[in-house]
Amino acid sequence: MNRRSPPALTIAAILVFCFIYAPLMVLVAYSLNTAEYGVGWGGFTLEWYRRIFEDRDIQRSLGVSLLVSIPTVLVSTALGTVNAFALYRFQFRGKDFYKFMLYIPLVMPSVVIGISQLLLFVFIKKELGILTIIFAHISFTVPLTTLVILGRMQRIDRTLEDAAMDLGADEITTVRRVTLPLLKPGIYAAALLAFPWSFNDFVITYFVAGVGASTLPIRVYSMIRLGVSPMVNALGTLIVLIPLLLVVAGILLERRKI
Amino acid sequence: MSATVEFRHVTKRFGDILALQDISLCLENGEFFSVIGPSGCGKTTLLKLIGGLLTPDAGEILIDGKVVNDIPSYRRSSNIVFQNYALFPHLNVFENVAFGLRLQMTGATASELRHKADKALGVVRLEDFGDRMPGQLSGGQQQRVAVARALVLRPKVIMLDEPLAALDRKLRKEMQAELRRIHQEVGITFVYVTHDHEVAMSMSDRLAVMDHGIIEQVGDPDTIYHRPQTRFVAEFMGASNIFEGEIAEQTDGARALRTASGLTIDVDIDPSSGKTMCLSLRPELIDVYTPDLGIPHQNQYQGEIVSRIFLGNAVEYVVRLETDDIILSRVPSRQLRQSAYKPGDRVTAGWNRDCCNELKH
Ligand SMILES: Nc1ncnc2c1ncn2[C@@H]1O[C@H](COP(=O)(O)OP(=O)(O)O)[C@@H](O)[C@H]1O
Ligand SMILES: [Mg+2]
Repeated sequence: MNRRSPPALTIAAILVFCFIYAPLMVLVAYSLNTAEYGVGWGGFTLEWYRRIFEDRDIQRSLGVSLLVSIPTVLVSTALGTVNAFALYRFQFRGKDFYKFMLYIPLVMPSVVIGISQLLLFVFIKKELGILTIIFAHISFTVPLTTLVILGRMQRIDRTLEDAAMDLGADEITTVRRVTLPLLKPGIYAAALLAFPWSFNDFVITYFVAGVGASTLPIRVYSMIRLGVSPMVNALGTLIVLIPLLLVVAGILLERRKI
Repeated sequence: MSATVEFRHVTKRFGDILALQDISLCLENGEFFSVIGPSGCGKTTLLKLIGGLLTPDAGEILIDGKVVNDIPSYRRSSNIVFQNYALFPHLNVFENVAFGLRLQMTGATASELRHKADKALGVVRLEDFGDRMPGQLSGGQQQRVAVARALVLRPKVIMLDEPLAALDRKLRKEMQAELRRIHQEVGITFVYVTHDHEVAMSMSDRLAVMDHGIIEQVGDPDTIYHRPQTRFVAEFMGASNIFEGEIAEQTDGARALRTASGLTIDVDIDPSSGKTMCLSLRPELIDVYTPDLGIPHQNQYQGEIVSRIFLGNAVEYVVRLETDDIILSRVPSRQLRQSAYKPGDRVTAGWNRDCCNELKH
């Protein structure tokens, strides 16, 4: 039998939900508002969205963002897979410490990561640009991809690999035919979670971007400095929605049973 | 007959745990061999050593007369049906069965593969299940896929690790018969691991009883059942009456055992050595009756029923003798008059001289 939740709890849940999504709903509402200035409702329009698609600067920023995020996701997923394999399969000294160290970047303030990345690039005299952004993004997404893939790997039954070897598969064949296919949902989930981390990042990117390369979040920021226009709202809406869908897809994949 | 698998003084350790201790063992070609023993006694370890998933710390393992200590699992002609079946969840039944074939028959055509895999699925009666995923099969069907996956490679030896443990009773009976049939059909050496001595006895040509990493006894079911050599084997096989004492000579020249509690038991045994002896006695060889019935057993003792357990086809009585020895007797249900005793009844427990079995230690 289904237990009905008490009304008070239901109301509390709705309030929390509103608390989380109210700002976002306001943003979406304003992005559809004809009134360009002030807070009043002037009527429904898609004008701002149209303008976004015509804006050269925004298009260029989107290009930069993708140019950063796609290689970041590919490299950090691959590194995460290798890393997870090493952590799960092999015993080495300092393994627990290494595992612990993976969690630190996840809780470290972005400002600190940004500054330290910048210092590093200045120190090695690397000119800031797309490459430095990619480098920084890989370094903060690898812990995430490693942990997601490691989580999946720990749920794979080790006797399946024993069975593969018993049936005549050497180590490499076993990894190719058994381990990797079973790990696939975890690898996809890691990629789908890493993408928005990279695509949305503002703080760290702000430090290491230099002048020429502005990603979409940085473009939004510079637009706001000139005043909040409904176009920013529309852009914000799009930026929120796209990675959100990816995250949902990632969570669904990760949950899928082995 | 020649040996398929031979162990020569094999020892296996896991850290401080001595999982197998100086095991020497010979499996004959084509026999159905069972390994029984309580959980944790080293049965799975034994299988993994044959399969090459573990390597021994000392001793030699031979398959078909060749030492295989350094041969990796994927080049040995042996296959395991794992305790949890270990079917590949991302491959359908056909691909599971074809997994080893593809590696074994490099260069085989698709139709050759299909023919062989289908034939193996036929042996386990799952011809029409090739397209199913393992998750869509019942426990019994999964197990048969695991058997087919091993059979199809025609190994020298197939090992089954407690394959029926997860099945319900009826299915277990069916699968037992099925495995026997398959064994007779293919003539490959089977090694069957279980903790259930009844299953092992009903299926095997020979069996080994293990405890704490040691093989206590190897023999055919009849010998293991009626002539256990050690106290552990006797108790594991359900012969729970054990007597220990000194050897005494009766006036008529027959031998007897005198226990510390004062029981004198006539035996039909030439004691192997020394002054003391240990006997085991199966519960079904002990009769329980009222004194006035006077059934002429060579050993008869007065006692009192302590408890009674109804087993369906038999009744088990726990009897306390006047010497305070506790005896377990199992009487077939059809002897109805005898199943009528209640706790507290005065009875006689009796058995013949030749029922006792001498234990070596
Ligand atoms: N990989 C392992 N690491 C450490 N100890 C193990 C390992 N495998 C088995 N053992 C130990 O070795 C002993 C025998 O185990 P096993 O062969 O699995 O017993 P069985 O199959 O008879 O239940 C047990 O004490 C078990 O805890
Ligand atoms: Mg086991």
